Amino acid sequence: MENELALKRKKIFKTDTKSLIGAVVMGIVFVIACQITGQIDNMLPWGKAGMYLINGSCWAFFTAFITLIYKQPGGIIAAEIEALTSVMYSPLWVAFIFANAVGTIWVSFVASKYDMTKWSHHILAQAGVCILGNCIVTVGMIFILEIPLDVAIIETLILIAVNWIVATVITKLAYDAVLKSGLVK
Amino acid sequence: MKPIISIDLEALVFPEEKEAALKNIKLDINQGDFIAVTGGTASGKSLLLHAITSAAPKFYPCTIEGTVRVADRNVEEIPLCEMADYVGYMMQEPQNQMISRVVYDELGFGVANMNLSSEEIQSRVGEIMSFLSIQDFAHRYTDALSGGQAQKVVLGSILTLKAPILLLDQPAAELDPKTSSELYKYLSWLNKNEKITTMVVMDKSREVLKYADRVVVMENGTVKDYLNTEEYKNKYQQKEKNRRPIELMVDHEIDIVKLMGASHIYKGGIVGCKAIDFTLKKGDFTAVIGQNGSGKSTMLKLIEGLLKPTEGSIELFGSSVTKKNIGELRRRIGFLFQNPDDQIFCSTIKEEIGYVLKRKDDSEAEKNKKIQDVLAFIGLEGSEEVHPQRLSRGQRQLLALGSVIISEPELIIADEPTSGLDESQSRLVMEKLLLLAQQGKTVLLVTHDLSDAKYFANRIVVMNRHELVLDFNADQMDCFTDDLIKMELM
Amino acid sequence: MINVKIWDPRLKLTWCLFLVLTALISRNMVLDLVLLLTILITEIITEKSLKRFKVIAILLLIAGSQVLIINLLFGRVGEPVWSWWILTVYNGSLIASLLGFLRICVITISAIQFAYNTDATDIAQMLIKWHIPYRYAMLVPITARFFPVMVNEYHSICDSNSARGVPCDTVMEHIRNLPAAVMPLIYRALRISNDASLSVELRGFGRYETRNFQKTIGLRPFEGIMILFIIMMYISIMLCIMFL
Repeated sequence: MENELALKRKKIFKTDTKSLIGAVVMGIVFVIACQITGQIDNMLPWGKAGMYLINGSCWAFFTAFITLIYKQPGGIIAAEIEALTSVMYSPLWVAFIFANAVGTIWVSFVASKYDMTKWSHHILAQAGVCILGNCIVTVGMIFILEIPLDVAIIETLILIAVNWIVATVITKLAYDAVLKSGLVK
Repeated sequence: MKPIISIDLEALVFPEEKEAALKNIKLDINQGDFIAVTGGTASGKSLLLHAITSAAPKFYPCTIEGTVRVADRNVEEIPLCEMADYVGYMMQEPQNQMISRVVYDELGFGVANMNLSSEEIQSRVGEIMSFLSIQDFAHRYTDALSGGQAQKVVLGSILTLKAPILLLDQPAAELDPKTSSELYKYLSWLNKNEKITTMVVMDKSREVLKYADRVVVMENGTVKDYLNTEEYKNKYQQKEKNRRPIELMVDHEIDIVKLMGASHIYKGGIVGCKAIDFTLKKGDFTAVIGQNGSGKSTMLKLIEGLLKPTEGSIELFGSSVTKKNIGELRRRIGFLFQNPDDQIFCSTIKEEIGYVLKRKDDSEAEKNKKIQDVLAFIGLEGSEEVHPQRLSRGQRQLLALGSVIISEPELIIADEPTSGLDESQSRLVMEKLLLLAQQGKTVLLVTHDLSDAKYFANRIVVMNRHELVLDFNADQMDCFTDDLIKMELM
Repeated sequence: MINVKIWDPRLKLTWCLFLVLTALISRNMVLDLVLLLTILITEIITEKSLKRFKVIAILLLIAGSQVLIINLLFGRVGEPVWSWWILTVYNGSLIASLLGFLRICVITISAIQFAYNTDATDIAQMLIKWHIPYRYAMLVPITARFFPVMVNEYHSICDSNSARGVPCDTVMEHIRNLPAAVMPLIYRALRISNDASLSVELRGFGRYETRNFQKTIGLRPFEGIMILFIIMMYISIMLCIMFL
């Protein structure tokens, strides 16, 4: 039975109904959390300048977190729900479609190689999410928003540095907490 | 005649657990039976239903020794998605079970999965809408339904499948008395006229026992008793003809809460509550009762400071409520909400209870002592390192209560704290609230459960059509029976 | 009033993609302005007002002003038109900002128009027509269904935090209290999704390869012609941009 097979953490795919619907509901939580953190960023000077450090960390956290719990295609489903819903509040939603997909695929790749019990596993997973995801968003900033190249690069480097550290810590803590709760096997 | 459900279970064991969650269950249920299932917290009631539907082990991984047969077929051999041919399953929270945006689509969800023709789908949905009288809101959004309407829709969606067995896990736990009575009337009609075998995990025993043929009493994962309803009532239900006297130290000189002509009108002119004059004295245990939509929640939100009165005024602890002092006033109040999951977020029980103490200046030793005292009070000592989400709903509500009382509030406001709990869990929570009241705390309980109000509170206040209509001592309830019946609270 | 909601979702998606892709490849302000005006005119024709775009218009203006400020401060395209101390403004920055603003308006408003005019179940049926298994296609209406449920859950959690006096005055308090807002929502999401998935499985979800829908979609001849016309229009614009 698929559900039993997916208990082996290194499996990439989990296509049972629980995973699919779980990914949808958690994708909606992803959207809500991004809204909350976006509003927090807007209260801060860097947010007013268009650099969403807390929101970016939240984005990186959920991208990895949902993929670790629901594997694929749940990770992509949740990621694309967030990307497509972001049309309501972000002009970069087109870039998010690709950034989110790439981020979740990277996490699946890392999770297929490691059991995600160590900090180093999460550091590696978030490295890909933050670097690849932010690079794609940078391309979006340059081609969609017409942001100057040097500004976009500097913003991206700052975002990668902050998001990577913060998201790694939150992902490890939250993932361990959820596994301990017994709500996810 | 072969039983329609036949359970011969030696053991059901979850991974990482040493003890079997269900053990030594031999139970035969005939077609047309109406069975109530009852038992204490974590006795295995819901798990028994999961074993019949084969959700355990297919949905909740576990190992089963023994067999469960439905309509003479071993459920292990039937894929979960084919169980719809035999069993309709209904859970507590209707909003979690509805998958469609619109009521009409939700009613046809199950039959559409069966690949029936559009005409057949329309015919079945139409039939069920008439039976349940839900034509009026057939095109409403599912998230805009009240609890009772939502539960009817979920029932309707299951009935369209025409399964011969209905399994219901506390279906009326979140409903008010009038709506739960209606729901059980429908179930009884289906059982008596359509011969649908019905198995209900008991939430409102008074309603269920009116219609049930037999009662399964569970204890520690096994069937302790399997009796007819009369035998069950004689053995288990102590008839409290007179409510026990409650002695509380009420100080009539001190007002904890005072509403003076308080009203709240929502945007769009919707009346929340009108001209409420209400005073809560120190040491009182007051229950506010009323149907859904009577204004109880609005009145509560006014007291909590979540809403401002559009007319009238509110005083808490003798002071008018302002933006400046609301934070300070709230620190003297403990709130217990309907859904304990709204306030639980830590990874261990100890952390959850001690969260509020982080902001205090007590020493570590003092904090630990307070935490241990609270754990002992709520009956969770020894479980400090357990994750709160592993507890049953009743235990989580007690944990929420613990996290509230650790800051030693003077007033405890409990908003339908027993909603979603079975009777044994409800009793546990209510007894803790009574104990707090007996220790000198003031308790304001909002509930639509009249028996909780009658047996635990010393004063009852009744809301009807957004107004406070009655206010009497709990031991005088019999004098107001006619009024309460007119308001459909009895 | 033209009822766009009854049109086939494939036509509406083609129209949306045409607008988005054209805006993305365009480097011409006039073209972007024409696209934007087309969307607004179609909205007025179908809905008789632009009320639906009120909120997003404010967000777009904020985003646009951020883009303008960044370009004015850091853009180096074109000729310098004004200088003060270390700050030099180039004329290319203004044009780049305007182009960016128009582009984001077109891609965002066209997507919102599509979302408002298309029923989630229609989108599911469209995916099924494209041979996506219905277990995946149905996730679209399921998403639409659970959005208000999870938003209500979040508001309950916020009310609970508010009533408990969880401090939310300063930015630091907001950040510190994020776990108290988000973790309960995550746990609730896990429970809700467990209940929902068990409920649908026990109602036969995934039993057969196909499922029936009470209202089906079907491409009418004029809709098919419109789709072809839009595709041809896009190809023409793309060729013009590439070669002219």
